[in-house]
Amino acid sequence: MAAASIKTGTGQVLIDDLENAPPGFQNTGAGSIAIIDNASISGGGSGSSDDAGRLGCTVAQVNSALTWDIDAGTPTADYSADKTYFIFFCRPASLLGIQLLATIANDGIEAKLYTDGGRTNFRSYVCGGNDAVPPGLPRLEQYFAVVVNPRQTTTRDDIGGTFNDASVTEVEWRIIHLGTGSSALVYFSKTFKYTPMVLIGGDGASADGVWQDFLDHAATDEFRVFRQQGEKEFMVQVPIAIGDNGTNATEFDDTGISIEFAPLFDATTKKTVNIHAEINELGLVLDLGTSDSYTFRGWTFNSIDKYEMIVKGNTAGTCKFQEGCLLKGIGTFQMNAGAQIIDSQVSQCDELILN
Amino acid sequence: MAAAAIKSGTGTIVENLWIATTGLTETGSGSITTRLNQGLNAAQSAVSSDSANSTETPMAVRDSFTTQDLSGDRMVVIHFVNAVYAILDIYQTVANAGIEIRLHSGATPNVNYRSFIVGGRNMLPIAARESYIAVVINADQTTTYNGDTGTFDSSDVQHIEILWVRDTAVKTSLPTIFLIQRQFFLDPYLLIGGTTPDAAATFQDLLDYEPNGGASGNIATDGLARLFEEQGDQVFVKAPIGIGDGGTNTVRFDDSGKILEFPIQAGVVTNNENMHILENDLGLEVNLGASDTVDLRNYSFGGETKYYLKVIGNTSGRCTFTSCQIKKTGTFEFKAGAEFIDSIITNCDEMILN
Repeated sequence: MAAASIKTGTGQVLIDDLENAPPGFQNTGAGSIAIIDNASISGGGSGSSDDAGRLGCTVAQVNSALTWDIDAGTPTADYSADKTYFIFFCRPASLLGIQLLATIANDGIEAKLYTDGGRTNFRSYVCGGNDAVPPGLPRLEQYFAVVVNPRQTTTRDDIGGTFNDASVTEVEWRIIHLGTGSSALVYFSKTFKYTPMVLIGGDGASADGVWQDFLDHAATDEFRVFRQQGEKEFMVQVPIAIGDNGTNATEFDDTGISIEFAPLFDATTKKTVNIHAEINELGLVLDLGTSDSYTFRGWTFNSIDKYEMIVKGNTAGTCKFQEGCLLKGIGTFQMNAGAQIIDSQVSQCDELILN
Repeated sequence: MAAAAIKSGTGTIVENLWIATTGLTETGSGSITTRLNQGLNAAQSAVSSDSANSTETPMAVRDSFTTQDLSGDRMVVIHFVNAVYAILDIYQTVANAGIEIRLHSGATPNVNYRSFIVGGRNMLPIAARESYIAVVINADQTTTYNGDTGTFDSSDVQHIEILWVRDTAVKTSLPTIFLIQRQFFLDPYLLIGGTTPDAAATFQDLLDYEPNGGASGNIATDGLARLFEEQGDQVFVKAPIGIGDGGTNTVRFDDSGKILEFPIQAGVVTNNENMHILENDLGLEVNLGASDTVDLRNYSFGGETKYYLKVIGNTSGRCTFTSCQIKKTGTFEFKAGAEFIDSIITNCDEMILN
């Protein structure tokens, strides 16, 4: 059996690293674009220092907007399939920078997806503002992921024409200034197309798949969708999976991880504005093969919003939740005959589907 | 019954060591500049420490303050933040004392002190190199320290010193900026009050509490304190907390669904240096009064360094854990007023019943 790894063809596909003036960008607004390179910074702390020469976007004028475009390209243009996401990373330059943005209601930071090669058909998604709490605010100045399911219409902001999620050809980011104060600066780093990453492999001995395999894979591309606090608590902002129904034999065994699937965009509480998805989209799918074995020991699963927990595939495989697991707040909750819940607890969940 | 609140005199700043107002001195070869509002912290003043120093000579910021007895539960808490390039390009590694805090006892600094390494260029505090870092120190322990000079007396601390060492192999001329946001001495937070079951105290009352008052008075939104971090229902707790005071103030607490994790001790895993604590320094203590009612529903407790979970006080009070998950406690103590319903207890130390 091969060592555990993320299955090729699943997970993130880099659309563009927004570093060093990628081609296709245009300044179509009243602000300015700056390529930030820390080698040129002197004195430090000016609010324009950054770690890797990311693209900086500045607006200073009252209610002005800065827009620029990137051609998404054919390989990454189709978002029509289930669980396919457009993901990008951004951060205001500082806490002061957050305060200089317009409110969520006035589209402080938003992404607009255009389809079919023109600027007629679009949907926009707000992801920041001076009245919002970005997911990274407890850790100021950290890039945060914005996860967009373009197929759903629950959390979208503006619309135009007839949106075609099979042909997203342009992406436009816009930041709106509060109207008073100094320039607001927002950085953007990378853009991705994402389908759920699937962990496979494990040799049944010392190198079974573990949670760290997910983290390692994400780290290779600065794909910061797993936010950690403490040693064991992780906020998971994308759907993930283990096993591929036996195409690759898979063993997974890990202890004590606490998984919180991210809350969804909420314009009322504004606590989370970066996950544009619907309930039961995020979650964990466990797709057993005949000889697969997945063991969760003392894990905690939870979300403020409903998520899915699905054990499916070949019932000769085994998936055990044991040694004090807590499965809480599940929406779509499906267990086939290979699943076992041992000395564990299920609470605040929707109806359990057994098949 | 009073509204829920943090009990006066607990969880508060014993002394708030704003460097800009408390005896800033330079002890190294660089220069120190007081800077207000660098944009990193719009709500409070901050201080930076700049240096063009190209050698591995420490420079220091030192505070003088009222003598502190740190021999008990009182902790030293310091929040700081760096520009990311400073961490990447300027500091030495943790092994080479990149960022160090010294606590000096006695009136004369640099004679008797205890040091703690709290960061460096290879330290990645919880996947957030650009973030504020809360350093919490139990000064009365020598397990995680970096050594003593002279005879350190934890009951007579009169100065705090923050030092850094440049990695000259990486950068020799770029100045750094070191923003020290907050320093204070912390006694355990203690939540009291709550009225009817419909207006009971919740964990949010702890999260809402901001030591010494912030811009909005809200830990979660004003970006100041870093003793509680939230993501969804998960809360990372870096301070000792309590509910109830044994009946002096009546408590009605009722809350559901929080997933609490207490931090790991410095030095146990690579590059995690900010929590200089011992096992059972942090945790939750419910101190019941005769008419207190505490309901914890669907809570999860965990921590990589042993933490305490106690229900003490008057056994006429009631503390109920319903559908809870309790993992890896250290000191695990329960009075007769405690009750577990449909809950899981796993990987814990011996339970003390009294």
